[in-house]
Amino acid sequence: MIRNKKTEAVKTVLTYVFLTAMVIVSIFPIVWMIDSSLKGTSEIYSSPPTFTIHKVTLENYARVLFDSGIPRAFLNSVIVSVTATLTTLVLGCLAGYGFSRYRFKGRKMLYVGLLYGQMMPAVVLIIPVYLVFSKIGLIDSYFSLILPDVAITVPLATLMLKSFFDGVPVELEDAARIDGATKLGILWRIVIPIAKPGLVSVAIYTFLSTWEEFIFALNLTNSASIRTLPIAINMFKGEFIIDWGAIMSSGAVISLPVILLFVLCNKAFVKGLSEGGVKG
Amino acid sequence: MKIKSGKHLKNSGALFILPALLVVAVVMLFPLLYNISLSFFEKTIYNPDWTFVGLEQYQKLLTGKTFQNALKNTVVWTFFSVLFQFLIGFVCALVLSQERVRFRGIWRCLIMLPWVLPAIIGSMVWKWMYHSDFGILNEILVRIGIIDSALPWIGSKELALISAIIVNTWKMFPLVLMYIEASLQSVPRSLQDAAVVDGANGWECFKVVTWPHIAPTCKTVVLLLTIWTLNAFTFIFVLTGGGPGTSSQVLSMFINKEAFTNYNFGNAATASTILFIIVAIFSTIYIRSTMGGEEK
Repeated sequence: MIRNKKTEAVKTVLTYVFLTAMVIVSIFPIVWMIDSSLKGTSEIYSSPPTFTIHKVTLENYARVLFDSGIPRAFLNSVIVSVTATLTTLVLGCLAGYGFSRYRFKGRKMLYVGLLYGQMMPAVVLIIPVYLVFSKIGLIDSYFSLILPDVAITVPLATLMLKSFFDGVPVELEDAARIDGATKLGILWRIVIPIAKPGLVSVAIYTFLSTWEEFIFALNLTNSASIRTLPIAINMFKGEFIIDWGAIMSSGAVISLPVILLFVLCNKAFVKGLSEGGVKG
Repeated sequence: MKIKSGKHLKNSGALFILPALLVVAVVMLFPLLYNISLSFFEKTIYNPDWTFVGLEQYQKLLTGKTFQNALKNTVVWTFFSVLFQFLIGFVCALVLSQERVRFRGIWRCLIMLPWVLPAIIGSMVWKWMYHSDFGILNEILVRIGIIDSALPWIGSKELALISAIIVNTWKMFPLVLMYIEASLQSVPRSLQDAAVVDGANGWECFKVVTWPHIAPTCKTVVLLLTIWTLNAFTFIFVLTGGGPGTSSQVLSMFINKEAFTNYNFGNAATASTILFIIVAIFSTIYIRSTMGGEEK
């Protein structure tokens, strides 16, 4: 019995040692980013690099916030990501509800089509989308970013929302229907409130993917008034010189909203994604 | 039993799906078909009009050294990324789901942060950590004695692809952890207890009770990781740009370079059709295995 207790204690210690090591591996690059962002030029370019900062300075942040394209790109990213997320949510709710509650011709084919859509490589779409958009003059507009963002996120959103709607009892809707509610009214007032946790995780997932979308933004924008954050941060990388201080501080600025969003909603998010995501 | 209520069997359901369908058709289906048709035409800066060449570009690509190299790199990149992502995520999930672990939510939240961080930021930070003069990674590894002297990481032909695989693994293993951990929670406690009562040790218990429960999820996760890694672009673009030389050139990088640096759109369309075929094969396996239960 005593020996058993001892091995249990050893196991517990090993467990926490392992978890601590994994946390360090996970967050060290993030900590290092913040550490570097607070160093002045002479300190950031010192060899060997040190973790401790002799003189904490906000000069990198000042440069990024007052003297670069980052604030404008932040606004652009917010506009693109929020619009795309809301659009995806609306389209996904409608389509998810349609798949969950109705049986119609071609349903299975469309469903399989969505599953394929979820896997579609963006790099396969970028060439034709670029050629078509440049022909009709859509390059370098918010719309040219929002539309592909929606198309790429809508399949998974629909699949996830469908599985959440499947869990809402149909009887509730029948009662409302007798009371004369319309189909959209039922979806809006009865089904969506019940499936709210699912909606939250779909919203976060969509926002995270649009916030970091890179290949469309890289090739479909060229002016500072449209450029989103992932492209703007890439601008600190000149042909010969890379402004690492600016990159690290803008990296911190760009990551802050998504990290906050995740830390605040991670329970609902993890639950939603693991229930709706893999199982399809 | 839930869905069979009579009024629901109307075709009006298709109307709900129409808006989403439209977007997917315009930005996915049409471009895909357009892309496939482009792959039979040649368009370069020297020849700006689309000229029909049939399968010529396929033949040239598949026999050419640059494309073969990109294909080979893609196999290495995908295989090792998925292997490490899965193994590390899997072990983490096993450790984290033990009953003895307190504050599980906080551990999970911290370990998942790399996945939350935008790929571009993660790649930039790692590029900075890999820096040959001011990079912290060499400093740490030398200090704790894992390596004797500084490694050139992304600056060397031998290590460039491995460096990118490390970053991809760091970013994606948390997602494996999340999926597997959720799946572990569905293993019935009573079955595990029964196995223990029957005298099964930890490994036997895992093999007989736990594994059969989580195996389908593991299969799905591996397929998803494979597809995502085949599609991944940002890591390599930021870290190495496919270099030095073409030592870390993968398919997605090759396609983007052919199209937007060399303006060889025909060739790029051909290469991306090939990438699509590869992804479609894995997608089909994935869809077959997930459709089994729910949608008959």
